[in-house]
Amino acid sequence: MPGTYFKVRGSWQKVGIYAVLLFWLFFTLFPIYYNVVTSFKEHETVYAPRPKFFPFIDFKPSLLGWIHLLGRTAPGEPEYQVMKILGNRAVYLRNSVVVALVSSLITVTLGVMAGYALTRFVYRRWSNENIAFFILSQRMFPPVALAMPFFILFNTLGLLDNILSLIIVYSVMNLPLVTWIVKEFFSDLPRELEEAAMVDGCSRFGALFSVVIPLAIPGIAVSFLFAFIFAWNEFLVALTLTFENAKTLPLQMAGLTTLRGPQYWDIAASSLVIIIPPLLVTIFANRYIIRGLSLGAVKE
Amino acid sequence: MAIRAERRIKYAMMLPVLIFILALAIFPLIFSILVSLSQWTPGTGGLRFVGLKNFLDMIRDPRFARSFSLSFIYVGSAVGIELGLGMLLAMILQKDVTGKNFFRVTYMLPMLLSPVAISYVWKMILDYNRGPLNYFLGWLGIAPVEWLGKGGTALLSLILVDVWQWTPFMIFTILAAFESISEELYEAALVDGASHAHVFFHITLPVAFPVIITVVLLRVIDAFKVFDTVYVLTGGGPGTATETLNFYIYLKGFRAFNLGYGTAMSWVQLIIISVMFTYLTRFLHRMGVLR
Repeated sequence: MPGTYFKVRGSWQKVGIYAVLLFWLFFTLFPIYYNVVTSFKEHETVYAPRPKFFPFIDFKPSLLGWIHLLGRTAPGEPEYQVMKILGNRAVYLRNSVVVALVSSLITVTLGVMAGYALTRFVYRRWSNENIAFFILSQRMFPPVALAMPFFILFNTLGLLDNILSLIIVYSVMNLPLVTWIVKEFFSDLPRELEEAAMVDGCSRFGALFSVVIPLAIPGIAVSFLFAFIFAWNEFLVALTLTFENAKTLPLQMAGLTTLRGPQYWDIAASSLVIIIPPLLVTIFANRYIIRGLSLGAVKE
Repeated sequence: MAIRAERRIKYAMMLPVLIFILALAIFPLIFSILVSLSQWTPGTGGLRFVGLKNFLDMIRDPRFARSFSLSFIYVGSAVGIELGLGMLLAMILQKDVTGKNFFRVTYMLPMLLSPVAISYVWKMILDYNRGPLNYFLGWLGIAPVEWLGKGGTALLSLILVDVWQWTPFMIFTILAAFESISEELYEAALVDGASHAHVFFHITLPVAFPVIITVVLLRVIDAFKVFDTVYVLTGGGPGTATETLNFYIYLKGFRAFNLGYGTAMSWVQLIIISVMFTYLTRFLHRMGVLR
């Protein structure tokens, strides 16, 4: 039976509650909606006297932004302009995907090892809590504090403007978050299951791969997605460590306005491409977002 | 021997991670102490030891103090507003509202989005001539505001974007804390004749308090790191009106290529924030609100 405490009392309260909820819904969704709509605008619509919101109803949608996104030119457009705006987009996209994918694979591998070790073994000399805190404390550093020593180090190693440097930095940056999430999931799994497997003749590694990891797959997948998204979104380190060859999508976007006034259709199409993966993750993994971002401090 | 093998696995699992962190996070950090005591010249790539010069420069640099206080204003307002709104919406979502799951998923959408991409979207919305925000304000008879062109409103715009993106974090962490309280407790309190306000202030809030403090601290740490939105939306401007500390460090380090000075500033930031947090958590422990 539903409790009376949570009942909405009185029609005025009801009106107030739904007004707030709908206002926040509008506030949350409007920028995303406006982004989608703007990606289908072209010069005339963007520079119209008032902003247009509804394709087909108050403006004629155009694929200009998306044609540019694919590196083509619209009929009657001088080709060099578009190429100058967009740069080598295919390369940036490949960089973004490779960097995010490889760095999150490294992070998750290390995170699973650390998470498992911290929940299943007792480290007497350093104590598990200290190790966990040590790993977590890496999150305190502002990225800009790490970017400068990394700049000098990679400069010395000749790794500036190389995606390898981004992969290394992102693997370290995401490690605390991933370790924490995986550790949380591992500590929820009963030890008896793997102990039973080990009694049946499984080795420690055998038990890890055949019992623990399959059961913790949701947690590992979620931590992988988080690491992927954070590497995908990262801007400051990419800005400081790359110049051209290793640029990622957010950087390509940040360069868009400086070339020729605000080309909002191009900007909107680009930003939509960057926004789509995290949107999908939010929709499909939303059960884990709060737990992940609060580093397990809040369980839902 | 099985115990030996067990021991070996125990360290084989932990050491790679620790070595990885030591080599790629602790070593650069220690190296950065050296950088903060030096002058780095681009081109030759040489580090020249200059002692405490960079730290003394900071005392005489009004832009450093200004950007530091600006960061505090930014973090304080953004996290404060997010906490207030988060609390309100968590209280509402705790009730039996229809479409709870729908609100839940849609409210969470902004959190994981790329700050660079959403800053551009907000730039379109805040546009002086053609932006929807000024258009909507026009309906209410408010004259168009130059959001990104004036110091005060530019800072407000940055805070607005932070609020848009991170209020959901507050909403759902606080809601989770509220929901950890068993329903019987509420019912019992109501049966005993407690008012709703009384229940909120004497049951809900005290139980949720440790979680609220924890998420506020997490949010403060992250809000101090703000960079992307400043870079895209205002570029620290107009003038230096929205030059937060991390942005100023970036300008000094990577635009002026004064890496020594930039590193020194980020160390001061790190130390001040860590000291602040240590005392704050110690204080909260003593108050008994944190375990």
